[in-house]
Amino acid sequence: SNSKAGESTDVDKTQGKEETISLQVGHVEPEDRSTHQALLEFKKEVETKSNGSIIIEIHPNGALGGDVQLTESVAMGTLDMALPATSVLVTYSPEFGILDMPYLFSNTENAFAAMDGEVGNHFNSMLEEVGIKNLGYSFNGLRSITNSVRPINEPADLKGMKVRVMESPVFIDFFETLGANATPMSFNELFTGLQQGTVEAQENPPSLIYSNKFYEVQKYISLTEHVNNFLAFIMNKDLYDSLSAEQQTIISEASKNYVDLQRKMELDDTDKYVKLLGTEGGLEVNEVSVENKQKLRDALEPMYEKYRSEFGQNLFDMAEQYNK
Amino acid sequence: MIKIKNFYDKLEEYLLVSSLIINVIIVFSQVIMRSVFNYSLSWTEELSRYIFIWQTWLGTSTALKYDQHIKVDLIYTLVKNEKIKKVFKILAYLIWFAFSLFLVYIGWKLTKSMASRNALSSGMRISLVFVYIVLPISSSLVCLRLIPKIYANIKNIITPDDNISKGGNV
Amino acid sequence: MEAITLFGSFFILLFLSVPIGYSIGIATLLSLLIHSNIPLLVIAQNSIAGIDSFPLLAIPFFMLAGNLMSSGGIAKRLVNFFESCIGHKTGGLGMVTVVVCMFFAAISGSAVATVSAVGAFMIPEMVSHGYNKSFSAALTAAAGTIGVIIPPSIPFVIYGVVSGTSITDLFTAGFLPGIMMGGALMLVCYIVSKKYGYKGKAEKATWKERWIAFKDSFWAILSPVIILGGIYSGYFTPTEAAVISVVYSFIVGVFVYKELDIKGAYNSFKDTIVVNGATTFMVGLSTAFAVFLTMEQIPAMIANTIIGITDNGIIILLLINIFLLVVGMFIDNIPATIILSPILLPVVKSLGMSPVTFGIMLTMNLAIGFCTPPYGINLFVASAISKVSMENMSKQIMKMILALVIVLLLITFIPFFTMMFL
Ligand code: NA
Ligand code: NA
Repeated sequence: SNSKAGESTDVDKTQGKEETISLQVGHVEPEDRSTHQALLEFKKEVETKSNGSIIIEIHPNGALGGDVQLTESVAMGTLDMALPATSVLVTYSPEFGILDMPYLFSNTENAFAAMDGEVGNHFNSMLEEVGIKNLGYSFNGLRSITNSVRPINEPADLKGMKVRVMESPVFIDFFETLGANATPMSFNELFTGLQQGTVEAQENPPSLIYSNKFYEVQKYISLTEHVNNFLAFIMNKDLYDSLSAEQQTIISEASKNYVDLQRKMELDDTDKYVKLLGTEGGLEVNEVSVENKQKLRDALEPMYEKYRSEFGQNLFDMAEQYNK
Repeated sequence: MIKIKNFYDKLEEYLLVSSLIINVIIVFSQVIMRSVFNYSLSWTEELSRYIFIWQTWLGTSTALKYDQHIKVDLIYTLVKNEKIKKVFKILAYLIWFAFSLFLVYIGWKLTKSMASRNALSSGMRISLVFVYIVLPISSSLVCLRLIPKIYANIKNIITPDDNISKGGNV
Repeated sequence: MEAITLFGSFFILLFLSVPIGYSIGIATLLSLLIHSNIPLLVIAQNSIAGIDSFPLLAIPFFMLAGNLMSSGGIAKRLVNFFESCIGHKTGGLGMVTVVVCMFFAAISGSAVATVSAVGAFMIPEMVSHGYNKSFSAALTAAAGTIGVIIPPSIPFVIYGVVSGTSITDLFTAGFLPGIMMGGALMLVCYIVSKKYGYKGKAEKATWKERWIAFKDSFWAILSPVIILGGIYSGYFTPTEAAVISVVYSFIVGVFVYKELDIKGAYNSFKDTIVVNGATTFMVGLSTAFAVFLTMEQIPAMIANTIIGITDNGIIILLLINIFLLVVGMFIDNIPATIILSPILLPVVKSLGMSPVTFGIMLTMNLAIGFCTPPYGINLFVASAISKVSMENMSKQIMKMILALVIVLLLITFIPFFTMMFL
């Protein structure tokens, strides 16, 4: 916890000896997902490199709250570290919504480059202002759409479909622009909602669709791959600043390794879980062709117009330069 | 003073009853819009959640007014002496008061922290300060309602009077 | 040490008759101050964030629906009808309470919602027919636990996600255990009623009288049909179903039975906000409590102790059941499910138990916790509705808890009951 860290650096200065710091990390993902599996490696690396002077304690499955609460907890220091989806960071600045814009990046490599480059840095400095140190962007996967009505290839296929969306203006606009009925619903109610037909469709990364068993109550998965979704690996800034230079280096390096490993695992998982959803999950899988993706993107132009004026042309330009 | 209190009591109750009516209307229209018009209102879930949070915490004050908070009254069947019973009652009220005072302090600190980060709700983009401030406000009200109860019990020990010990509706 | 401070101070505060919700908050505060460096802000934060959940809105909505059914004449007619059918039998009305709870369980995902909806009209009805008031309140509190076992069930959804278990399987598996719980409670009701001579009417109703009671209660009987139908045909979620039943009860009470006037409606709303104010804030404070437990890894410590005691599978399962029952006495089921299933699931899997069976067992354990003294939200709601003291209800509820525990043991050790439809 953070006050322990504060004490230990005091001791560090006066006696030149370190006390053990324990860092509590919270996230909402199930244990079988890459987010958690790679975090176990992060824990090993930090604990080994610090000779056990930094202990990492991981609390998965939302045991310490949902993404919104985890983020607030890190910002105000009631939690040390967390991995919330960037979507919830709109709490601090609506600009984070751009990261949920469908087809913002033309492919995943470009998205990684942008998040490790100028785009990521832009948001990191925004987070610093509210007391959050961002250690990197882990990959939550490519979001695709499942539903119980028909395969989705073109914008027209979404007409009138009841799609569950996160309570976020960008996602709501995304589906409304394509003529679907965007229905905000809490994640806890989603399974029952799909089962009973309150909503017909939902969109999430394949590994999450698999671990939440949505295939039991859906028929089709269409690989629209509309958003490269990221989780921010955040830490309380005061806590980070209170660490010794050596400790900061250990954390930063391990975070970088974490992000690399986790992204690789998630990319493997995306393929693996798409296959599993088709076989074990019994979903009808349809690839969405490059042309059709472009059609979807073109149909979203009115939405882009709206958000260009809202988030600023500069931000869109900043992201766009990584698509070249 | 009594006039203000009576006025406030009514205001609090009407606010809470209205909040429940509003939530029924909000959620009901959500169902109608979706199932009849195939259109979902995007802001309703968030608004109804925030109203619910206010309803719940402000409700702690009204629940105190109607003396409906749930406690284990075992001690009052074990202790026979009326005076000691009252001492225990005062003690319980004082502990409750102290914790509510703590909630006022910590709730205010939390609200200020929210304000400093200018945290906004994701749907309606309203400041979360308006949500979190219910904690210090409702806890202050609980404190205000507890003071006369503590006072009445203390006075009752010094000058026993059956009328006061019955008047719990403070 | 942490556990001693936490639970010790909680018990002392309860004994001093500090309100239970506040006792949890104070116990957490003391533990944070003495044993950890977690900032105290965590209490304020969870007080709000812990109740910032749409499904929780079902609590006041179902309370309100129950109140409106009660003051608008729906409840009376439902009871009349069921009473004309089995009211003359020993304990008939008590059994009606259990059956109505099972009905509500099929439309609500939570136990509290079930108690509040059914209790508001069945407790007064039972009392007016000569049943002991504490018994009536206790029976309703116990039958309300069926709300999370018969689908839909919010705890099943949460367990399924946390443990990676099929939620459809959990829903399917929950039906039979839910009916068994109802059966066990009806049996208790029968035995108690036989002893104390609880009966509805002296004379058995004729078929003509039953037909009249049915016609009169038609709109009342239609209410669960509409709500169930609405959920299963996908028109609304369980939380929305609660609101539909509010609107339906209001319309039937005002326009069909013409018994609901402005005063009755106002009182229904007012009573709802008072009971909600006395109960729901606890969920927030107990979330802070759960965060402290998690961060200090107290549940993991206790689980390891259990495994360390023996390698006999039957004894371990018994110990886990006892542990969960104790946890259920103090902590809300949602945080408890989130914290405990990842810890305990590997243990029971190694003993050959199916994750589905464990999900039912865990949820049933924690649900029984809703009605075990000293801390049980079903008890509080039933107590608030009926004005029966916690002590009197605690005495009455013991036999019902015993019956539920017997069902729990059957579920734990005989996989058939949870696996037969899978
Ligand atoms: Na249920
Ligand atoms: Na309990």
